[in-house]
Amino acid sequence: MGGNKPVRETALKKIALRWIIAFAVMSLLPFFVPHGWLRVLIIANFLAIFAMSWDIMSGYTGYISFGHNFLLGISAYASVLLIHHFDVPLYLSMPIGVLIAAVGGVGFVLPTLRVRGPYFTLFTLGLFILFERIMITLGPITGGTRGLFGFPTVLKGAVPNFYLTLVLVFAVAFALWYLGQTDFGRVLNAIRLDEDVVENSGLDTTRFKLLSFLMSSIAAGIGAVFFIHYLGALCPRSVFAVFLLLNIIIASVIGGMGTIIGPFMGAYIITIILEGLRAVAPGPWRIATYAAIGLIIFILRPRGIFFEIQRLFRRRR
Amino acid sequence: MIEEILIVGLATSALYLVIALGLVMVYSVGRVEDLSVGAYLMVAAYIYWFLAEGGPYLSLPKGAAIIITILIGSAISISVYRGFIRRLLDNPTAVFISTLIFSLIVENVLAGIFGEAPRSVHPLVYGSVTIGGITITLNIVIILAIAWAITIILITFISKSYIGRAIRAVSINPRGAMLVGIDPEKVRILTWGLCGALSAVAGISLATHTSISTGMWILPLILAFIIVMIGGLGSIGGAILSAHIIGFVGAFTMVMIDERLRGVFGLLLLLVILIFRRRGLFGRE
Amino acid sequence: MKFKDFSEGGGNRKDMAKVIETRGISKRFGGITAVNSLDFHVEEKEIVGLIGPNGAGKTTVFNLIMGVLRQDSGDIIFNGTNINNYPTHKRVKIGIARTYQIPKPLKEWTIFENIRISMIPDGIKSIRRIGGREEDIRRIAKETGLTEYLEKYPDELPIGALRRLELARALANDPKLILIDEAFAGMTKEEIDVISELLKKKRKEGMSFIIIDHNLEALANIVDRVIVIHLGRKLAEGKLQEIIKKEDVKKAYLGE
Repeated sequence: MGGNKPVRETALKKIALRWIIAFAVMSLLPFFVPHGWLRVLIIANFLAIFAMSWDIMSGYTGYISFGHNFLLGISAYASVLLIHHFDVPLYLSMPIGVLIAAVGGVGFVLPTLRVRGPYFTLFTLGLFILFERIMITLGPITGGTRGLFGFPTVLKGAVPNFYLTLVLVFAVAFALWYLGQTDFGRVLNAIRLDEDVVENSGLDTTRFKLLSFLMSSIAAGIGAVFFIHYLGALCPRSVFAVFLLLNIIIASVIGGMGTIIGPFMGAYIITIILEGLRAVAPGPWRIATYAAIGLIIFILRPRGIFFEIQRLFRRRR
Repeated sequence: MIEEILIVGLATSALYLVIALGLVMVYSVGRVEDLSVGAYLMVAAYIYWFLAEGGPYLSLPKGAAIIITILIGSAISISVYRGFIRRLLDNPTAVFISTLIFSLIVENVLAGIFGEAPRSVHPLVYGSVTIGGITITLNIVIILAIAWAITIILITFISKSYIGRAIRAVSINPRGAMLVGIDPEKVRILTWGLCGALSAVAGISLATHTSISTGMWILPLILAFIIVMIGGLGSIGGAILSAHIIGFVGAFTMVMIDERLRGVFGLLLLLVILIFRRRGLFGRE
Repeated sequence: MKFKDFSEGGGNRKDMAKVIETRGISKRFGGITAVNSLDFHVEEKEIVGLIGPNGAGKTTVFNLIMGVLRQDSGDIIFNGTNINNYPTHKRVKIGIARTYQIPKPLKEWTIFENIRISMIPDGIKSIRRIGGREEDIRRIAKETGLTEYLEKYPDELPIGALRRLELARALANDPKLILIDEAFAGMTKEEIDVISELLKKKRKEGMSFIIIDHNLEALANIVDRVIVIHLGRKLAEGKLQEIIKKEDVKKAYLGE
């Protein structure tokens, strides 16, 4: 939960050190794990970015979005379509993709900010399904269900890509975590607890929600364009799959909503579960087992693993 | 063309209405949205197919298959409620998330047992009728009739019977209901069971109308929700009207534009309506 | 045109003294008229009691003043400015604060943080700056008798303390006018005295109050004037002692 009070200067230094240690430990991984596993970790890093970007909006404010794929989708499609149809270079198409996510995210979400609770969630789910359908129907431009491939990737090889995603995921994690620790994050948390009270304290909740959406969109957009230019192929299933949405949500909820670090950890945990199950349960059974594990953890520990770890440490002191 | 839109529109509207009514009832007594209704529907469709057309081992008469399927549908929805929704009633967000995850589990369990390929299901009744120069399959007429019969029975049940009044009492004020001797928990179990049964009927109907697949839970779920949202949560009259708006928009899209865009205009409509009326067309402030 | 500007622009001394003024505000819910062309005003450094039976529309009046609900017709003037189109947070920023009838603390936050939320800077500025100074929060806590609870969570507090937290949060907004919904319900005699003294002190510092309460005895000690509303209409206005003698007020209030 990031403690009850905002982090003051002294604590900040200590925490910054922890971040550096975590980064250092993880950057040693390529020396110990086989290359096959590195590809798994790369995907885990992307998933972590998606989950954290979901968290800064839905986890913090309690406005549960089932439309995160919409943000991922528009930025990925924007970058790839620019390259495919207009020969825009990679270093331009990617930032434009992120920009599209920011504009699209805020633009489409603007009217929904008045809508609360289930209405909001369904609205976002609608947005996501809507765009999936449109992308499939616009076959001549988007490649339909088969999608597009053969566009450039940012880097080649498992090791360079691992380091690229590691830097990315830590940059996003630190930025979003820091935001969560400031009064900005506190207000988002308060919006989840009681939006009327926040408004009644002279704070413009609409503006806070908009800002959190903007940050969520930018982080999601960054993740998505790097993701798609890592895969080198884009089809509706790679960004619009319900399975991806569920991964994002399960990672966030079992890690702990509204903590940023929780979803980061959650992404790694579910990746390990999914890989571990590969040998035991084939095909759909693997996903069913994994989702069941996620559901059980969520029902028994709704505040997430990160919260439980924090509690454990606090008790010891 | 117009005839087709008319009959497909009427039938799908009625089907979605049945699912939506289950949602409305569950919401009114539990104040949560159960996203598993798509899963209930899909399980029912597979169970019916397995019972009625499960190859050499099983080929029950259709009537028996339907009854068993409905009972199993209720049993599943009640188990989901007792299993975890009950523990999360004070947290609608958690119900949203957990029931969505549950749907994914169901999808993959079914894919594990029956495979991911879609399967076709025989219609409930064969043949067609011609009314005023329009030829329509008997199956769709039967579906339409069943859906409307259920809707009317349900509305009468809720307004007239003791159990129906208990449901309304709990939806208005659970504590007050308790004071007059109604156990809200029992009412909720009953309502969830009813919701499962309604979804099962819709699942069987959908199966015999088209086919079954492990992805079939998403679109009915979303459309039923759109109907409930547009109609305003907890309003049956609103649900009937919005079911027909969505049903006809969908039928029109399917017949006139593109099969794959089914649902898209319904979604667009929802987006537009929510922008202008944040509690739906009939929701109260 | 100039002439009109002069008369409506608030140059008039009588206008200046009015902190808030409603001009014929009405609000209907479906077929029920909750507030019916209500006119009233509150002057600077004045404590006004808003009384009436349950369902008279008192809380609706507060919701209209705060902009939580928008009136169907009529105007709300604060310090000479028409605030009809102001969203709630803007009304709070210009100096109107309110407390809730049923206390609404942020359950996962300590009392210290619950008071501090009113001091957090709005929008993007909240990222750079930590809002509120500790001494201000401690001063408000002391005034409202919450010092001992500062590090506790709302579910550890008695109801009277939660009411005082509502007041503390309102004070932390540094308002000119506070709307208090149920000031004394659930409070002991001592607590009522403490709060009454605090309100009088704040009035001396320049604040005004509108107070809803059913405890007429407690109100009598602090209010300058009361407004009685019944079925959304203003029934009577004036000194409390005189008002309660009136027949129609008695009838509405006591249901005689």
